[in-house]
Amino acid sequence: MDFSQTEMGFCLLERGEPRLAAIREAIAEADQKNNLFWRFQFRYDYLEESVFCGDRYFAMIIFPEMLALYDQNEELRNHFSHDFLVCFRWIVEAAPEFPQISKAEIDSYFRMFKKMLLEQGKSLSIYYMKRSLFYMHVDKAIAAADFYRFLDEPLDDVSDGRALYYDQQCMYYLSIGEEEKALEAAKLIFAGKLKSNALPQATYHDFIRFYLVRKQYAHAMHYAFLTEHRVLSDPYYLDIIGTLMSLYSVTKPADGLRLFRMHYILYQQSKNPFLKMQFAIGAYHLFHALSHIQPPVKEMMIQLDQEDPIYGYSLKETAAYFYHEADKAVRKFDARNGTNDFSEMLALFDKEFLNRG
Amino acid sequence: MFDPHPLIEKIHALPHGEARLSAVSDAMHQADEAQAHYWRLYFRYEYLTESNIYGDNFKGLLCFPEYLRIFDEHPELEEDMSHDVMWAFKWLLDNAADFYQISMEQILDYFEEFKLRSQAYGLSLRTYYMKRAKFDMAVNPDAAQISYANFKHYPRSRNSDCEACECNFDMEYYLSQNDIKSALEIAQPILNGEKTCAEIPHVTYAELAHYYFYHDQPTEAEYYALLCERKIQNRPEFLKEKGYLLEIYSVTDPGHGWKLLKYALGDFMRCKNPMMRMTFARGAYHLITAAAKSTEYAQSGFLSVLPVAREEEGWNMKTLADFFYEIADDIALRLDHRNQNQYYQTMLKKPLPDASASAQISEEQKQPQHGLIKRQQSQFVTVLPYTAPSAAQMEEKIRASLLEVLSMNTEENTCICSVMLDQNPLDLILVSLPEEDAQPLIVETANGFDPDDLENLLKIPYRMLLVTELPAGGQKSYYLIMKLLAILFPEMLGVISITAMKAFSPAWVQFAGNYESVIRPKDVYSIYIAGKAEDLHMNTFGLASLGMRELELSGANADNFGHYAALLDRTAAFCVENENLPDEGQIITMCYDSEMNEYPLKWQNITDALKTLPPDSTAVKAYREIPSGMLITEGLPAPKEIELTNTRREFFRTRALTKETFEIFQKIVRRCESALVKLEIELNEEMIDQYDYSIELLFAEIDMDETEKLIAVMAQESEAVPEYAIGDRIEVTQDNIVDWRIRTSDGNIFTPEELYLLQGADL
Repeated sequence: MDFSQTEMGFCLLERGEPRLAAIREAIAEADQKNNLFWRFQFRYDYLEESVFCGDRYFAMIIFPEMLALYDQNEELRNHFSHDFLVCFRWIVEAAPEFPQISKAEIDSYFRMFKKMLLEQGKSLSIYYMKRSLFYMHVDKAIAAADFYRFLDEPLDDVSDGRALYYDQQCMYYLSIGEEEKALEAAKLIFAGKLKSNALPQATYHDFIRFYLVRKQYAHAMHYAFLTEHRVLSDPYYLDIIGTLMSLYSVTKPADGLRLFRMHYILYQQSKNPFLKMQFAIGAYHLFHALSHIQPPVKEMMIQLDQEDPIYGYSLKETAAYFYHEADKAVRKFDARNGTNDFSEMLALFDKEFLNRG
Repeated sequence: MFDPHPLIEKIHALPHGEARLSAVSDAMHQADEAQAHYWRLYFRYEYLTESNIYGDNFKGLLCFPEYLRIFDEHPELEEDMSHDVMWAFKWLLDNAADFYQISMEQILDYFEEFKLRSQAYGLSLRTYYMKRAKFDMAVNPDAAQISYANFKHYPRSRNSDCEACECNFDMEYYLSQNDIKSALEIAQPILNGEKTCAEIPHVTYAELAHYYFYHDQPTEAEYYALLCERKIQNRPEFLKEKGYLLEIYSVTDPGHGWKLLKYALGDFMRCKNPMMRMTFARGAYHLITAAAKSTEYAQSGFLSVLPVAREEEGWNMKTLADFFYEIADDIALRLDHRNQNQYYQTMLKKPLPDASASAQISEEQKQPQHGLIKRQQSQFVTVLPYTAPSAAQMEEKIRASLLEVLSMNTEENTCICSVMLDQNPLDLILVSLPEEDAQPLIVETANGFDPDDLENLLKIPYRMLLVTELPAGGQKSYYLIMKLLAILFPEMLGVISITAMKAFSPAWVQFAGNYESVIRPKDVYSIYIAGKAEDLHMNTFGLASLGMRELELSGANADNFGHYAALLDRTAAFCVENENLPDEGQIITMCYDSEMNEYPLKWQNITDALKTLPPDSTAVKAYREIPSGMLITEGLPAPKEIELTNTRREFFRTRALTKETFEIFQKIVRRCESALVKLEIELNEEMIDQYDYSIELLFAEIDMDETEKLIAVMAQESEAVPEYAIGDRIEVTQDNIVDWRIRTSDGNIFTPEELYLLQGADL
């Protein structure tokens, strides 16, 4: 069997689930034939597809298999050392999105990643960057310590590139309330000189959240306008859709409802707890606001199956449903992280609702 | 409860050096009190980093044993912290030998300890042998050879120095073996910019300068010294390298060395690293001894930081030289005593090379390699509408301005002072020129200065002469000079650069002093053409003021001189923008012939072309006399008919200026007849994938009837931005505008660079 032909065939398939299904079959085939090279290569393809065109859930499933193969076979270590580092980079970024992965496990992933980088003579830039990102919701001191180390380390071929280098700075500076520094760091991204698959929308998202939390809605709307068309109907950006729904719940609920209608199906299909939580928080904020609007909004204008959990629900009941869903997830994440960052996000508008009441 | 987060933020908000060290020390103590072991180690590593990379290593050296002890007491932190510890250990090995207070036995124990720990962590012994070889080079050269061989034998590992540092070490080793050929070959990736880090190429330049100096090639030494100096200015951690430079300048240019001494003396007084102090003191001793040949007493106020008493006439040069000699001698004795050899004392007593040593090298050996020279002083004449102020009046004027005055000295018609402008120190000599001696000046007008106005300007005898050494790169320096003159003489009638032989109008001086992006490379130099129709000669005026040799071009004729003048102009602009002559392999510019064939022009092409010419030809002789300062047409890859590409730098400079001056543009545009703007429009993602670029530049015409906002009507259609068609309206903002053309009612067209010429433009 010509596995390289099989691999080329993936390109003809629609991205996301159809392609993942085809790669799954190829993995089974390679396993059966015990072709070590392709067993690893197909798993790499699967992980990559899950990271960029899925919700990273399947990446987390396949990675331990790759790790075992890599550890047990020296020839793989010789051939795939760089590719494996790249996979590891994706995994340390994705692992925190799954609350079932404990902090200790994530720490151990980071330690392995650091060791591997050092062994291959690579810069620790990417290690400090991803660890700082994770610790932003876990321990701000470690996030800060790693962030400044990240700035000192040179970029190399495992690093995320200059666009994400600056995006990380935006995210960090915003997390400590340094708006000016964040705007300075975002200059090249906003000017369109630096781009990546996820930028500039992820950078805009950082600013939307920053202004949203501070109730500076006009500023947040400026970035929302630049963001929305870039993230529509992409399961990868369910978290940004969630944030936009939170914002629109205050500024233009009708548009929030439009976003909900477009993305509810993606939410149901997603297996990524972090993305689902962010979406559920946004949906809760939106429906809570909608249920208070006068004159009352009559219907959701969305076709739902009878088995759908929110079928026939009123706006208030829908808000309660998403609160429950978000709250469950928020508790898991906050418990794992040992902070209450996401609880605070969920309760963002509580005071306002009380005031309105 | 102990919260390290605010401490970390506070530390990183501080500048490197003493302030940050002190804040980290405070954080260390707080972590100690809280018994937060992870943070005790974290802050100590930060302390070691700060002391090693931005200081004299002294405090880091004192801190290290405690750091190691805490690490050993907490095996639970081994996995997280062992990399940091081994990295900091390397710094200890790098620096321990600098301190005579550390015994030989202790140093060898450190090496042994490092070796054992490296083995325990499964690290290659490459780093151990590298550090050992470096130590042995000054202590035991025979042992150094063995350590070096071992260093090369072991593979790189996670604790290895970066590739640039290893490459530099290789070079240093071959220099220690007096094998300059191998050293230069090894150093190529550093010299051509492929391998760099926080200390490289700075240290590489310094080591090469030092080597050439003590091998009787002070000119070559000075070349590397100048390169090094540009990298290490205001960096106290490079005090040792500054010592090397002082030594070199003591032979090649004591005046320049004196200036370096002035700016580095404070760092020397604060430094506690004996090796750095000794090297700097040795350089200062040689420099002052050289300067003492021309004057018995120094008047410079900066010397007051020294514990040397000022006599009535000033500081006695011999006393100053003795002061530095005693420091150097004392440390050399102690280091040699510890090392049980005479290495540093021999170094101190070594006779310096003769300044004319380079001249004694035969013509064949004198390979022209480099283009950097000392910066020649620049001269600017400011023409005033009144009698030029006296020195005392100038002093008053300067003190009344917003400039920070560092020093001031006035004599008759001359005012000598140092001032700070935009955080750049400027040494100025201002001379009030006597009206009766007003010399005729030969200059050309620049930047739209009306020739008739120039003719009138040259008749006015009220002139102030400013003499200065340009403090930074060409364009930056001119910006500072124009800003300075605009501050001091707002009522001026014009400025004449004697160096570039150009005259600038007062409005332009004001404009250029406000916006750095106004200055173009061509403002800094001129090109002159002379000779007969069949053999024309061209040269630049002005590059020498930036520390480069003037460029000369020979071999053009009446038919092709325009093309070759353009080539010379582009090459000179390249030099100004890069502050250096290009490296051999670097592309200076792309050339196209009439059939649009592309030719990259490299310096290598020029030197290769020379090889094809007979050694006794005029061109080769001239080239030898003026190393790297000559372009010769014969054999160049560029054909006779050439076109030069536009540079991206010019585009970005105009873009920056357009955005900086957008507010003024907004105000004046409505008073004009019409205006065309160039806008940058972002492509959507689909189009980016398709076209492989993210920004499209499109022209649009300002709608003069629209009064509320600045609206333009698209004048151009693009495939890549389907959202906009011809006739569509778009708001012009600082974000999307990149260039403009304004047409006035008298039919004149203006660009952003000519904004100052527009009536009523409030600059």
